[in-house]
Amino acid sequence: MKSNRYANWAIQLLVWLGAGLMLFPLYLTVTVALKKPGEGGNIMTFPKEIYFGNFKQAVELGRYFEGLLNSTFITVISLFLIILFGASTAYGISRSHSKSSRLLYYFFISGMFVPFQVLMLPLLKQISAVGLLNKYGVILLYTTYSLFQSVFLYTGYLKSIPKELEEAAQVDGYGPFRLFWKIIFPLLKPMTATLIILNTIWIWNDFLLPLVMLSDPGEYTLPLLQYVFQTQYSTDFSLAFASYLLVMLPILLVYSGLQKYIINGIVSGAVK
Amino acid sequence: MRQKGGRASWINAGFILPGLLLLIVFHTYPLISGFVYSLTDWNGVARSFDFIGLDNYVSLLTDARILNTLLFTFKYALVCAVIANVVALAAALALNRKMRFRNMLRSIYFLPSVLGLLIIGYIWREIFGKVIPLLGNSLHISFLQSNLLSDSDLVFWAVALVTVWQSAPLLLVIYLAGLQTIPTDLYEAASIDGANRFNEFAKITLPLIMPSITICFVLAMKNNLMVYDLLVALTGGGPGFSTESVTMLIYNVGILNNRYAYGLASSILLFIIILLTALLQVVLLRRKEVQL
Repeated sequence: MKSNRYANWAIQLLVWLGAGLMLFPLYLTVTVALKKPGEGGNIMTFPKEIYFGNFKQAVELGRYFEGLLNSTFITVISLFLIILFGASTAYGISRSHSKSSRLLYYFFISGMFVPFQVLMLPLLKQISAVGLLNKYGVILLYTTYSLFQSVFLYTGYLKSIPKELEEAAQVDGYGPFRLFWKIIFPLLKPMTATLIILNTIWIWNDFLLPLVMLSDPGEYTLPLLQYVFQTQYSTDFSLAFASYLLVMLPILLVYSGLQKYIINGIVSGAVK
Repeated sequence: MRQKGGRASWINAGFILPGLLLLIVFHTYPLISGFVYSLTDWNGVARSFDFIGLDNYVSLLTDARILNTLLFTFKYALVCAVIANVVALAAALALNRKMRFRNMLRSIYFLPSVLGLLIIGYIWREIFGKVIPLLGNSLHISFLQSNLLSDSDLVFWAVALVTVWQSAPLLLVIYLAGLQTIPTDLYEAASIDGANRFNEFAKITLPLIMPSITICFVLAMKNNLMVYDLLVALTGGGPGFSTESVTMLIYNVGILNNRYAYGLASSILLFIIILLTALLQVVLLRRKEVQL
């Protein structure tokens, strides 16, 4: 079967070429970021000498650590609330058997069809009226807009947890809130992990919501700072690419360590 | 009195209420108020306004810029969703074979899905500005020698390229997961019956991964219809308004130009488009699915 072997080689070659194409922008970012400004020559060639000065400049000019702190604060607090609100809402819905709880379930799920873009304008009026055009407002909105997915995923998962377990705990004198926190919530761990992955990537990379919601430049997240500093970066590509690399770095580090879990988490979130 | 589940309903309500409150305050209420104000001539700041019925919608649909934006967004969403799905399915079929470093390749291919769209856009903007013209010069391909992003005829395809590059990886991994659920004995039986590669694909693979195709297509369409970050970074909506998406329009008109009610009407229009497309796709694609 000679033709088959050639086909195999051709497919292998295409697959590796494709992988090269996937990595090319990252390669470019790294090489340009490590080049001394004005080194000249072809943009794609590897730097003659490795130069870290661009990163130092990007950190200072681009207010990197400030952005890192803001992004981390918003992401971590949002995640905490997302898990708390998502799990408890789903638990309440899945354990009541009335018609209205079924209706509530669909009310939560249908929110998926109304993205932030659609709500943006009226929401801004409403939020500025109560003085929440800041990071706390951003966190509240992320918590709200994650509910559709978290309620959906948690409710599906909760169905698989046997009732007998809860009845046994009640016999042991567990109150409803301790029962939820000590018995049910730990059992939801796989779903919690999936939701943490999905929402971390969403919130860390999100741009439009912080753009319209944050009025104080001291609260700007990393993507927002990149947007604000574009005019400065347009004259110095090494500085711009060093800055992009620094923004991607936390995600790249986490991804290189946990790729398997991240891929599975995102896929199961998208498919269900 | 306790319910069958073992506890009073007020306790369940206690678990549900905080989430429900958030949903109503930050989701349901703005949706309804947005719709109501889209029927007025309010500019967003004035104290008084009048109800003008569907006038905003009528002028939206007769405004050449808005029509262009709607058309661009829909064409962009559809074309990119189709190409990304074809590319992703082909790549998934290739990666589903036994090969060395398969897991590593899967991780490499997936990488664009975890990176932010704004930064991806900025990096690709430099690729279009610096790398591709260089390539065009050394290969003597004339249309690649200038920046594709400032060419109003080719900018659509430049933007589509980046969109496919960024969106296909997630679809690829979903397809890969779908392909792995197909039992291998089906292929063995088919090859005993003398089926060739193409028949195997058309008669076994394709029908059995129809559910994945439905999911991937709906997902890609929805994400593409909402596009904002990538276009802001790549083109800023230009040249002219040739790559302005509906989300950009909402932001530009409603926030920057203070034509508040007009912006609201565009938002409701986007909502209707997303809803209709999702329903249509599910109806059309679900018909083709088969169960094992």
